[in-house]
Order: sequence, then C-alpha cells, then structure tokens
Amino acid sequence: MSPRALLAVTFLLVAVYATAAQAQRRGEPIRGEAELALGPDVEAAAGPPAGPPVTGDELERRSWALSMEVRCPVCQGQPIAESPAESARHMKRQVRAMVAAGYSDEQIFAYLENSYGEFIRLSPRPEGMNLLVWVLPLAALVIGAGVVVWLVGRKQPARARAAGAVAVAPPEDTGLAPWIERARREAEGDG
Amino acid sequence: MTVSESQSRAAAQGRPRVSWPVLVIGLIIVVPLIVLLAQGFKYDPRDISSPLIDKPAPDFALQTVDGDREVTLASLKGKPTVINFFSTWCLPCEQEHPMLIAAARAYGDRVNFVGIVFEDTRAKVNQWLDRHGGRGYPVLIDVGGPAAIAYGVYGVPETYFVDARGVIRSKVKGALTFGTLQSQLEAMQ
Repeated sequence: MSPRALLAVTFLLVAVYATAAQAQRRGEPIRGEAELALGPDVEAAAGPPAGPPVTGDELERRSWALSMEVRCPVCQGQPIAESPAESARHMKRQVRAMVAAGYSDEQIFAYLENSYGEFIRLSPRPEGMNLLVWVLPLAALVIGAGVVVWLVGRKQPARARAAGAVAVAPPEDTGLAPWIERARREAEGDG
Repeated sequence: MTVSESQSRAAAQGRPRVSWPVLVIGLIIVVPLIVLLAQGFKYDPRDISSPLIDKPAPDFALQTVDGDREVTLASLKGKPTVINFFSTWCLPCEQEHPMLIAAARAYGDRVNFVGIVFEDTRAKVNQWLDRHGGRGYPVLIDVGGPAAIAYGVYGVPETYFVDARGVIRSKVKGALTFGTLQSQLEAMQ
C-alpha cells in the first residue's frame, strides 16, 4: 500500500471514530448499539405492544422523535435525546427498545409516566390546568396587543387635534392687508 | 371630580400622574402570578413524590454484583422489603451504608434488604463494598438501568419501602437515618 493510500485510510478511520464519538456526546442514537432487553415490568405497566416490531429508518426516526419529548430526569429542562447524562442514555435505549418491540408512542409515555409522573413529558398534555400553559401566552399576546392599540389610538386624536389647530390658526399679520384690499378694490373698479 | 381632573391636579401639585387603566391591567396580570408563585413555597423542592406510592412495585430480575445469582422482586414477597438505590460516587450513600448493614442485621429475617447499583460498574462496587462495611444483604447490578427507570429514580440515594404484598408504601430521597428507617418500617406493619 502506498504511503498516500495509507494516509487516506488513516484519515478515514479517524473521521469515522470522531463522528461516532461526537454523535455519542450529542446523545444521538448510534446504529448497531446493542438493544436493551425490556425489563420484566414493561408488559405489566404498558401492556402488550400495540403494533409489530419496528426496524430500520422507522425505528431511528421514532426513537429520536420520542427522545426529544422525554425530559432527562437529572438535567435542567433538557430532552434525553440531547443529554450526555448516563440516566438519559439508559432511558434513550429503553425508549428505543420499546419502539423496536412495537410499542406505540402513547404506551411508551404511559410506561415512563407510571414511574416518573407527567413531569417526564417535556410538553405537558393539553388538558385540564395544563391548558393554561397553552392559553396564557396567547391571552397575554392578545391583551398586550390590545393595550398597544389602545395607547396608540389615544395619542393619535391628540395629534390630530394639534394638527387641526394649526390649520385654522389666523394667518400671521404681515402688514400687507391694506395693500391687498386696495388692489382688490381697484381690480373690481376696472371690471 | 373626574379622573382627569384629579390627574391634572396631581400633575399641578408635582405628584406622579396615576394611569388607572394601566394600574388595573397591571394588577390583573401581576396578582395571579404572585399567588401562583406563592403556592410554590408550600412544597419542598427536594421532596420529589413518586406516582408509584400505593401501587405494586415494578418487578426486576437482576444479577448480584458477585455474579453468583439472579434476584427478582417476586422472590422477596411475603416480607417487607427495603430497596436502596446507591452508587459508589455518592457521598450520602457512604454515610448511610453502614447503618443499612447494621439495620439488616438487626431486623434479620423479618425484613428483606436489597441494594441496587445506580450508574456504576461491578468492579467499582465490589471495591466500594469492601471499604464500606461489606455485603450484609444482596447487592444487585442494574446494567442499562431498567430497574432505575421502572422505579423512577431521579438520583441517589433513594430508598423504597415495599410491604409484604409487594406494594410501594413510601420513598425516601437522601441519606437514611436509623430513625427514619424504623418509622417507615413501623408504618408498614
């Protein structure tokens, strides 16, 4: 093997290793990682899988999407997908194993909520008191917009009044009025 | 006297002008927020409740750190069980471990004690146990964390008290004292 080919192969191996290490640090699922066997409590808590086993791209896509919605229990408002914490990595593998076994998204959330409570969802269910989370920002936006419109509307009439006052103000006395009057009379006399 | 007259008078006297609509809207927004935040003072942020209280304890099937046998929760039914999640890198775990060994000895056959290793390796745990009072009860290794996930463990140490029927009756976060252990076990009688 030529030195140039050896260098290229070395560079390729380093690049592959660096990409995998970086992906692991970012918490992304790595293809080929050993699946975690489901614990004996899973079926008791979540019931039998709702669908057939899932593999390939569908497994990756759903595992990733779910991991972005599950809160890392030892982090500050971070999804398990983005957390490098050991607990988050374990949970990510558990989610992946459940997706692979055919469990639906709702079953997986129900399983995690059974042990951690609703806190484990990054986006709370839009029901009951949780609705405030969705409604309050919108209400605040509408109220804020109303206040702005009201304040701007209150100032505009004042400006309009000021503009009107300028328009009807008597013309400044330039001392030419008698001359203008005389010119008008002469013109009428000529007519 | 109208509002605008009072505002004009206040301005004339050099007092700051009060905008009543702004004040009312501000109060409508701020007062509920203060009430909502004040509710938070009722709770201890370190006291994380578990939705598993009064529910059947999740089953597990884990190897001991010695690797000599597998222990399941089902095999422990019939007696109250103390399940302690711990790690070698956790200082409060070091503090409570000798007490747990002594308690396991004191309660003997009346209570099961089980330790479950949280995010740690078999080799480190074996060394740690040798340094901190040994193995007074089965210590299980939770490879991949299925037991920790099933029990909703947030951090270590966390101890679950399971009654003879296999129902979780309480959870204690942080280092246990003998007094707490005793009162939790008495509450299960």
